[in-house]
Amino acid sequence: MTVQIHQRSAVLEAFRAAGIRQVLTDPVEVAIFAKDACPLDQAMPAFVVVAESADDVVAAVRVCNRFSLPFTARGAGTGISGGAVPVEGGVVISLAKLNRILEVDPENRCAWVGPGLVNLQLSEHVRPYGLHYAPDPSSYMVSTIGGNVAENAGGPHCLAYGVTTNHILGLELVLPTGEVVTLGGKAAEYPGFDLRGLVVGSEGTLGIVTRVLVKLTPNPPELRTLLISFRSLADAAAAVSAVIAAGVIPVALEMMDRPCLEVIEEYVHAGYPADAEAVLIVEVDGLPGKVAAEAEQVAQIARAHNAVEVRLATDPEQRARLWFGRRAAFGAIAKLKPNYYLHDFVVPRTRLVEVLTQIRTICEKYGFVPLNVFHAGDGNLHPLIVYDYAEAGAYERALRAGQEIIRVCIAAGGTLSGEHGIGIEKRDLMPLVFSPEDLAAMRRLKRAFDPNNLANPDKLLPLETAGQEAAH
Amino acid sequence: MDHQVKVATLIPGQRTAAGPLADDIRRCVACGICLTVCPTYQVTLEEWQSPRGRIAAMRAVAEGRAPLNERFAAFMYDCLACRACEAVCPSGVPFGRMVEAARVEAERVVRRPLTVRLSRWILLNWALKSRRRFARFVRLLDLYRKIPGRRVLAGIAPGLKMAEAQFGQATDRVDLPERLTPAGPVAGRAVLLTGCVMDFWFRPAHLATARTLVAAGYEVVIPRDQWCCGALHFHNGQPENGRRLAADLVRTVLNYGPDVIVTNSAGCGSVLKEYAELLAETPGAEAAVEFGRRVRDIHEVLLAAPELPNLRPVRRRVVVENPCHLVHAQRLAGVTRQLLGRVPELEVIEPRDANRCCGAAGIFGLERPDMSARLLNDKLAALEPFRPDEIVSANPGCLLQLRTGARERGWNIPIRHPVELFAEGLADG
Repeated sequence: MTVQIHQRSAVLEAFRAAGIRQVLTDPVEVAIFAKDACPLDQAMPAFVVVAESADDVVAAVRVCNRFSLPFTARGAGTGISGGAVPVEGGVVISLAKLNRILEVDPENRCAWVGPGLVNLQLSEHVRPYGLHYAPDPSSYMVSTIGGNVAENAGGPHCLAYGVTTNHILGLELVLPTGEVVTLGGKAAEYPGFDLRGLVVGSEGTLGIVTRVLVKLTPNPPELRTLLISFRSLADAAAAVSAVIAAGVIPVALEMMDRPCLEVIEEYVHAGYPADAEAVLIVEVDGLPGKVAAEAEQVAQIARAHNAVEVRLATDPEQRARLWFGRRAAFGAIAKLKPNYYLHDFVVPRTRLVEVLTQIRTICEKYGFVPLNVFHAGDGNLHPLIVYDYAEAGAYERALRAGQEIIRVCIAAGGTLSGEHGIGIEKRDLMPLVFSPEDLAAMRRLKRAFDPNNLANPDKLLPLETAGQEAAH
Repeated sequence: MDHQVKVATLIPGQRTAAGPLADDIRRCVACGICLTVCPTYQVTLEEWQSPRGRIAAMRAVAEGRAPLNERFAAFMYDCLACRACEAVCPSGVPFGRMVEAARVEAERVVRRPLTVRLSRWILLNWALKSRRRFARFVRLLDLYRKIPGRRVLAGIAPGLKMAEAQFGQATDRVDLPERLTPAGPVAGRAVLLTGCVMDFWFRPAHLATARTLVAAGYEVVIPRDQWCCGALHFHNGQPENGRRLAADLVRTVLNYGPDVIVTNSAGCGSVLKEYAELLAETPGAEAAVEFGRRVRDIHEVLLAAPELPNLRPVRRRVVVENPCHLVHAQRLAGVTRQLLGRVPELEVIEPRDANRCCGAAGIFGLERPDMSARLLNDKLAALEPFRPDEIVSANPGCLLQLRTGARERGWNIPIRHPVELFAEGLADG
């Protein structure tokens, strides 16, 4: 699929003739687009098209079809499953400049935006209307709406509000063959196939999104945050389940384990209880009466589960102090070792303790101490293995530990990814959770959208041979 | 899984073909947080104008996937080296020293317009060699300023417009004492570094620095035989020349037996504090460690000293601009605001983007005049609504840059070092 030397100038000429102004070809230039934030892989594209308009994207996709060049869309390149890693010799289509807010419709609580718009900038822009965009992946200050759509991103506040797909009302999609379609829209329901839902989370394999209609959420009138510490992980996990079972849906329910707390205390001095085995951060929002009652209910449940300390924050400054350590966690962890492998999978809440214990055992076997800071409310685990590439074999050991952890999670009834996507990272593990028939159906779907297999190929779905091997 | 480790050529402890250490390159996990604060990325939204993109280019050259070529060099000099990225990097990537090392390699392949090459040579390789030379350079500039229509001339040649706008400004050369002694008990001996550009354009700031040090109880020595710290050379791919100047400065200053070595130039301060590292493999290494340990920015000294009694009220509204090398490189965030906050009745405004580069960035304006002008315009447009009575910034390059912009906008307000404003509050006037 790579470009022949004699074709190179013809392709370049075609991009230019199609009106695209910025096309990069110098090896130093294209190397800058060889990878995203996934540590596992990189590949040199032959061309990088820097789209300045939706028309540029359409033009680029058509040229790619003419020359049978695989293409990969890229937003901010913050994905950690390798979704934006190009095919060697293929084309990267950068959407970073398509960052305009095209229309804000406060009455219908939605907005049309470009895919390159940074998540946080959207919320900042609509703040004067008393609205925000709810999904808040940890990368929200840099990741783009387009990238969030591709990965169906989650975040701490997705427990109550739902993940990205629950906040995408419509899309403009450039099909892999170059036609432009609009999926969904401002109406509440659309008959027929929910293609919008299909495209969200498809990791760029079904086309390139050039406009997004996002749902905007009213800012809650009141917020309360609790920081609850426990002497045992089991108590903390039981409290999480009890809170949900009691019918309280906190907007956030985050857990940090002891190794993680120790690092946070050592490097950022957040004032978290240092002797706790686990700490929960619980946030409830809504109307004042409801919030006060729910916060009290959460505190009671926690105490009934042997919580040693409950701190309650009501004003923004106190709340920020409780969140401070959680937000600084990854920075603190990076000070331990230069490299890390961050995992992402979901297990049933009831099996959190069991899985966390197994994760620790596996990591210790490979000489690591796992750090856990994760969305406990929906059982979305993010065990983090820190290592130093300079240590011989450390990287390989981290990978092997990761493989074992994934299998444990799946055996516990969990699944491969909570919010980071499959990409390259977990592509060949898909047969662990999907039958050959499931995968064949997905492949047929992909082919229906992308008959020439050019849109971000070799992502999400296992390579046919590797898939069969992994199943055994 | 059969993921290959494709970074085998990055050997720990080794310097790469791109310039930086392999370890520094590997430290970057490509998370992209730096994009949110990088001034050149925020303006262009182009990955190659971001720290992560620049590191990716370094990595590609280091791994042999791309050649050390003119594009690489251009990317390294597109950077302001403001180090805003370092302050937010969760992985602690030492980007400043990486881009400095990459520029050394880039020098071999870089292409510049003749006028830029010539200006660089005059400034870095001729004028800054010694105080005597620099004095001659300043005299030539004085003559140059008398040429009618000179601005038009400078506007024609690439890069020279900014240089003209900055170095075309008149110097301010009040006399400095050699030694000042406090009336009361002595807290210690402070040697004041006068630098190069500061000493010709911003003498009033030196005088104010000396006066505040005395007020804080220091005996102040201002050696006549000191010269430039080499910061511009270290930042622009000429570490050899930088080291020569640095070694001289270390030797000279230590002769005066300082308890503390004080600078009021943020750009110099960031390099002075790194002398131990920069001179590590030279004969002067030990002295450099000794020197580096004693270096303080004037803000640090004054904020650590007991609050000065009887500060007079100053009824004025001042906008604080924070030099990159103060907030990002030296990590002294908010110090100007804190210092001026001690002056009664002074209204101190630190705008939201006070920590974003003004585009001066040493001699960046010479290399990338358009970007430099754009950042300057953004900065001034953002602070215009505050209608300040004056603007302060603790770095000579920033002061020249801000003065240039203010003049173009017809603003007639003082733009000076914060310590000058602080000194106005001193009781003995």
